[in-house]
Amino acid sequence: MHASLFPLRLALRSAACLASLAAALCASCATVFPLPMTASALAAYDSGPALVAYLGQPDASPAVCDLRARTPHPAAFDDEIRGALVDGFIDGKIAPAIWQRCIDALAKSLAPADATSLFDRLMQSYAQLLTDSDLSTDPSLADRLNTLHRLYLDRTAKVDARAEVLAPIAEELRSKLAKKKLGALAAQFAQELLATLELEKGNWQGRAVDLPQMDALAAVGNEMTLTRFSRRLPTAAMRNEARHRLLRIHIALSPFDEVRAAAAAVEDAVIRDGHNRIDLSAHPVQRAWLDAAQVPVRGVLVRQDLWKKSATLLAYSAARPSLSVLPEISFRGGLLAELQGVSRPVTLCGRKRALDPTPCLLSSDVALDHPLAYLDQGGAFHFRDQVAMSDVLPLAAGDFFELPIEIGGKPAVSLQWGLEFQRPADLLFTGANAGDRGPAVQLRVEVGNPRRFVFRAGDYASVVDAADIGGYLAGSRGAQGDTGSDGSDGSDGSDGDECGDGGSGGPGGDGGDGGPGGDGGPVQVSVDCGNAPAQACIASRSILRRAVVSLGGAGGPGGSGGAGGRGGAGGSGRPASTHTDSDGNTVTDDPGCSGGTSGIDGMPGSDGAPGPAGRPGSVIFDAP
Amino acid sequence: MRKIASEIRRGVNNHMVIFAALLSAGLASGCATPYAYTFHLTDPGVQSASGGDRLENDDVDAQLWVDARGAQAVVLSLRNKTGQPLQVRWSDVVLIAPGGASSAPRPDADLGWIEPDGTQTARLIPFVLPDRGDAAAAYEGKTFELQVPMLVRRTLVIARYHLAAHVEKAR
Repeated sequence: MHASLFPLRLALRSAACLASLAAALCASCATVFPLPMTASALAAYDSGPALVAYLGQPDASPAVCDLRARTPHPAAFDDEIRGALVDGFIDGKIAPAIWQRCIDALAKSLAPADATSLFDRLMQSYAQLLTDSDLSTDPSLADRLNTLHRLYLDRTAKVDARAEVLAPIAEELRSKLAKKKLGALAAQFAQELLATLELEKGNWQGRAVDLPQMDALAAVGNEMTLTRFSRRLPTAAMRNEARHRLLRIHIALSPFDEVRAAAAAVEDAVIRDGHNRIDLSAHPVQRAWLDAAQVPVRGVLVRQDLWKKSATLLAYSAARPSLSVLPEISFRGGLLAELQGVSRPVTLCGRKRALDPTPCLLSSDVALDHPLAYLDQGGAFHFRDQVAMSDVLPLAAGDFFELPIEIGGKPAVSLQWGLEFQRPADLLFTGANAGDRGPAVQLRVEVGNPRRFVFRAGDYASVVDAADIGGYLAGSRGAQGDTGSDGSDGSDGSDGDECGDGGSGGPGGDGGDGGPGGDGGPVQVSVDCGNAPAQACIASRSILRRAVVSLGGAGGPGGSGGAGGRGGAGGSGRPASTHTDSDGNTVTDDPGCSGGTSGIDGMPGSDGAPGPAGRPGSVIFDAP
Repeated sequence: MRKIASEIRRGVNNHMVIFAALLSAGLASGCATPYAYTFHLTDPGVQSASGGDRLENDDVDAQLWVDARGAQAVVLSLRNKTGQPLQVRWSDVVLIAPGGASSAPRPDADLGWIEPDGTQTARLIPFVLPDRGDAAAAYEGKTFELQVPMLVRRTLVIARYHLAAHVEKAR
């Protein structure tokens, strides 16, 4: 089972296009985050807007909202981040399903005062949505209100908003209901909220909740009301009574004969542990399989940062054009196993509050045998998505991203995702200073898997998929030569005196020639073909003879010629002057003069010649 | 004096811009064409009935209709044809909109299981649709999928009902 690879190249191009477009469109926005954003990147940003951007991505994990989780997350969900999380949802930037899971996880891990503050804010937003005039015509608004409504009604008994926040909201809703000032939909939500607030005082539909009432509900299989009771009744004892009756309904409806036959024992176990865990030592696995419809199918793209010796793992999918983050995998419903002595296939246990008596496996019974996978809070498997290059190099040996799954410590089944390495930067080592010779490089190339080339030199390594090897370069390169010095500017001509011409500008100095590029350093190549067939090894060597190089450095560019000096300005003109003599004749005293012409600008200096390129160095393979 | 005249002109221009914006906003919302919806099931074997389209198999007789303008609900009536209680997991009902967005409508009242040969009617809310303009017209011919998980003879079954929208100008 693996994702089709064909959309990947398109996805990479689309991602680049979208990133450029987003950057262009949002040039004036407050903050633009490059996507996909991994959980590690989110933790580094550590801000509310980053959290909103992260949760807006496909396959984002709500584990980033769990302060107890191993998955990287913001350091603290302070007021700023909590506010951004609520506003991001209200503004439609975060999808309801993941937002609800995020809030669930957050509420469990926040300090009580912060959880209360969070619910204060949620209920204030709830009240605004409930009275929004667009509620009856805006599907997304109604969906957000529904999400907030369920979140509040289904929350654990330990968290709530402050009475100072809730009381005015309830009062306003009662008033509007009485005056029929709410639309049909808003009225439905308001009535359910108010009924639930009454339930928290122990009353349901006008009477105090008691055990006979619960029994009556259980007798007609009313899980919905009993679930309310199990979450919202004011005392733990009464909530527990509701849980027992709810569980009895689940047992009565269980398809497992052995569950119904041992109803009392199962009831005890589920009330105590939250699930009906199977003991694998008594019921060993006979067969296991994956339900393709329930397990995410993705391809993994390894993005390498060669010079930082690190890599980022991203996901691609045939179902969407853009890259995203790696999904979490819960395996509940997706991993199925037949166990000895159990009448039906089982899967992983669900949430404890579901009170499900179905025999099941704990997350800890299942292991994902992969060095980058780990089991986190909530029972889902996650992947480290920002890792050292040394962590991803072993992946290059395989064609796929293999995820062997163990149940009870024994291999059970394997999940196979596609695997691609994004083309890394050229692995070229260059002389340190201008004109320096390239360093000597000992290069080792592993081609045991004909689909990939693994280049290693010292502490550095890169993986190049065979499809990307054309044009990829590894080896040594001389440093570029020194840049020639720029010529000096010519002197400006002198300005002309009155009636005189301006002087010519001086010529600019010539630019200096560029320095010679450094020679390529010697490159020694050893090729490890591993178990590759001889023919494939020969073909790989042939390809490597083009990829492994020792290049001379480019010659330094010549210096620019200096600008010619500016010609001097011409002197000003002088008007003629006359007088009239005694005979009335006009006598010219001074014929005057016209203004001088401007001097000629000086010639610019010539640009320096580029330096000669360095000479290629030697490349010696360990075998012909 | 010239400066004052310029300010007056700018003020008039600003007011014209605001007026134009209000006008266009009005055209885009309040003055846009109102639409009304009708729905029908598109699943194989569907029968038209007076109380909505009907779809029946060996276990369940389902009848659906949509109250898009009044209670804004999908009304689902189920008759249990099996000899055992049939439990609908109302909390896990999913509605997938034409664009792929999913929501979780719930019955407006709490319900228990359905006894053999019993019938249960649920009004699933919210089911909200835009009532005017291009946003409403865009739903013409589009299909919603309602996924209803239920325990039938103790086995989890997900019933999928496909509702096609027909949108026309309201009279």
